[in-house]
Amino acid sequence: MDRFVLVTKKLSKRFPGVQALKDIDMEIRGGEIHSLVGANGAGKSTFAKIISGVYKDYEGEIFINGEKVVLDTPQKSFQYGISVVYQEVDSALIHYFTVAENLLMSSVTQYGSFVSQKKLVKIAKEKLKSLGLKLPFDLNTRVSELSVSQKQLLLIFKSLIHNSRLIIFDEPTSSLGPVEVEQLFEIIHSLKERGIAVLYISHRMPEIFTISDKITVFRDGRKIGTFPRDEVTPDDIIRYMIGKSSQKIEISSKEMSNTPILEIHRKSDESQKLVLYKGEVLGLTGLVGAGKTELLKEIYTGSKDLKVALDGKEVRIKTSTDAVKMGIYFLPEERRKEGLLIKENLIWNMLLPSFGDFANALGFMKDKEAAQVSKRFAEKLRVKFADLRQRVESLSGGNQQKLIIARWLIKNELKGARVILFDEPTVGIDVGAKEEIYNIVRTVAESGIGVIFSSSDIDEVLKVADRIVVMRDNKFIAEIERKDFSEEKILSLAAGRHEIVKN
Amino acid sequence: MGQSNINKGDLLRIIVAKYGVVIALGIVIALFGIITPNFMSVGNFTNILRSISVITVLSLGLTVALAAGAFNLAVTGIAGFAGALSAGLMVWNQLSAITSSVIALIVGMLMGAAIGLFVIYFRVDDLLASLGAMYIAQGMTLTYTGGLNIYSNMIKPSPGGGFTTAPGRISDGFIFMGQGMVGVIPMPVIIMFIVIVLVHIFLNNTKWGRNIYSVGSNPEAAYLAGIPVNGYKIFAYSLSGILAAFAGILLVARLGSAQIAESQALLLDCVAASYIGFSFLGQGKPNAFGTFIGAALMGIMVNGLSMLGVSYTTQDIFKGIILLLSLAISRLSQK
Repeated sequence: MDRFVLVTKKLSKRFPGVQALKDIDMEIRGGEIHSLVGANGAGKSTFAKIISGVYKDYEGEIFINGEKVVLDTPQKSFQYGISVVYQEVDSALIHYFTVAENLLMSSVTQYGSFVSQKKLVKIAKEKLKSLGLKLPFDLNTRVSELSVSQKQLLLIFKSLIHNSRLIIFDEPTSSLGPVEVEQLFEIIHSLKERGIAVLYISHRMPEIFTISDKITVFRDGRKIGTFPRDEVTPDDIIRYMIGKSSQKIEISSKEMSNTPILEIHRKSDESQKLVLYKGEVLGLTGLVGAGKTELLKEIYTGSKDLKVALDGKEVRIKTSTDAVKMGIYFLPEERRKEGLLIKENLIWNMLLPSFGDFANALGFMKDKEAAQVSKRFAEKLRVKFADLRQRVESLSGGNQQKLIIARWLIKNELKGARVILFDEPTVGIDVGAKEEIYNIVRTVAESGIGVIFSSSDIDEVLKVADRIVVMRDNKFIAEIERKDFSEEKILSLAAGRHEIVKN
Repeated sequence: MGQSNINKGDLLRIIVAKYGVVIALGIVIALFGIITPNFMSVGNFTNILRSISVITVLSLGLTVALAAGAFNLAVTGIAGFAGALSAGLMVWNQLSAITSSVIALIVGMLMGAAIGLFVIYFRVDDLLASLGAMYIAQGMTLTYTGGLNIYSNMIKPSPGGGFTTAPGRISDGFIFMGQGMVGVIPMPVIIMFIVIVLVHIFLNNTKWGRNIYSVGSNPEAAYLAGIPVNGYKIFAYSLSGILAAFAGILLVARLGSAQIAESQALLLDCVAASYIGFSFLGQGKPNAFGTFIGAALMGIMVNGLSMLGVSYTTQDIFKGIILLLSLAISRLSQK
């Protein structure tokens, strides 16, 4: 139990033009939950990828159970008992295979060339039983029918079946709601009891302090230190991560406007309506899967089921193009997939909705003017960049997110926004950038724009919103004024506990 | 981030990614220049440029579609039909060169737009849909021409027996477009460069070009930024159709007649030229000058190998190698 499962000595990794990791010494014991924290670009993922065999050309030494090893392929790492539960669980599973097939995927060939589903289920059952594990869903289920947290559980069990000694969790809670997070933590604790080492990579302070035995902080590719959890505070850790203490947001208790700017009614259910007032930040929260993203997309890209009024006048939105023309803008949740043109430069990404506004009467682009405006906004939002013409793929998540925000602020300056919908604007970005984004959101609202700030992170909604609407199962279930804000209340509303108590 | 400490390996990779195709072009020219005595002459280069003029314009048709993330395998089919139509209208209907060409261009545009509409409305795979469209266009060409090449005052069997002589001619002005010279420069070469520059300016310096590239780069992000993605796809397909039709017309002008099977053979070269062009200057996306370089690389290979006496059946092996190399290079530029 007490042995070091993983030891690294002077582990380093270079990318073209960047030293991603420098001289990392780490020691992780069996039965230890070891958190790895750091801002974006600190080297956490690089470290995880080296250990899991993704990068073969690293420098330094790695020891597994005291034995010096070279981890140059993912298969090799897996054989040494290292497995990873990635943030993107989907990429690690085969969707049209069953749970049993996925559980045994890495070892399936050893059961003969032709394996029946029946036989696989039997083998999987036996293996799970011998380990004392029980899956809360059927082994014959197709993976495509599972929820995100069930997929995570599947991946964890798969690691256990294959005798993993170190399981790396890479931001495992970023797509989970609070209840699911709790379930995950229970599982992680049971891993600890089994003597398995856990490397837990995350941004989220409350989680890290709930779960870890030790916390290691990375900054700019170097290790700042490893601390027993009880000897540090979240503020210490944040200070180590960003090199300064985080600033708090002060919301002045201002007089709220009572001019509605956006009103939404669901035609199929008269009880479902939402009003957004001028200059207000409306926090929209609820568990993952409560229907927040779907609602925002319905508003933005049009839905036959919604009656939408803007400034008191009913409007008909059929596509995103209509919405943008009316001054309704949307910042999507999945930055890389839905927001960025990853191969294009900063200017391009900031001007994506505005090329027409920067063209002369003949359609020719006024590139100088476009570059000036882009530069002004990039600086205003404190985007860190070397060159406006560099591809955005090299930027950190926080900087990328700022570009997408800048995109709509530019459009606002040109055309005037009425409403901006932010969908999970701080997912996967570091603490410092989060605070900056809260400030931007507040400033946007203060200029008289209506803002919907949608997030599953209740803490941040409490911080930034003037009023909170809670969603559950695609319905609005509660509206709470700032003076009545309470985390427990919102959490229980979101999770549905409130109703059980009432009955 | 730390651009100062780029090591040698990275630098080489960057150079290859950026200038690989240009370097390849230089090497090929130098090699042929050394082995083949007559290769390095103004006359031969003029020949090469003339030989690639049609295929470059045709490839630009594909490039514009690719820029919007849309495949258009029907470019050769559209070119064939538009070419035959322009010739047929002159020869059988005695329309003027200009009227015939304009009608052929409009028909090409409509065919392109039809593919776009089909792909969007039925949400089908654009590669396969355009393959279907290619068959239709080829069939339309054969049906329209009755399987005959179209030339001035052509003779064709009448339905009632006997023969009919076509009343019209392919006008001299029309043929000048494909065969004329301005000083020492062939007319089709001048036209080719004009089209390259126009497509380049359109894609890079206009709001429509930016939006087309955006749609091609990430349609979902483009849509969520308020860009009418479907509209731009249909727009790109229409332009692709116009350029293909123009290539078809140019081919008729070059040959002095509509050779119905001529354009079909160009399809794979055309795909290769566009894809080779991706890696030009490390852009990693469809672009006009890259497409020209791609077509030139293929044209020079064919020319040089022919001068060396390599049969055209063997030449395809070299074309294949060039395409594979350039794909590898464009991959480098994306890393």
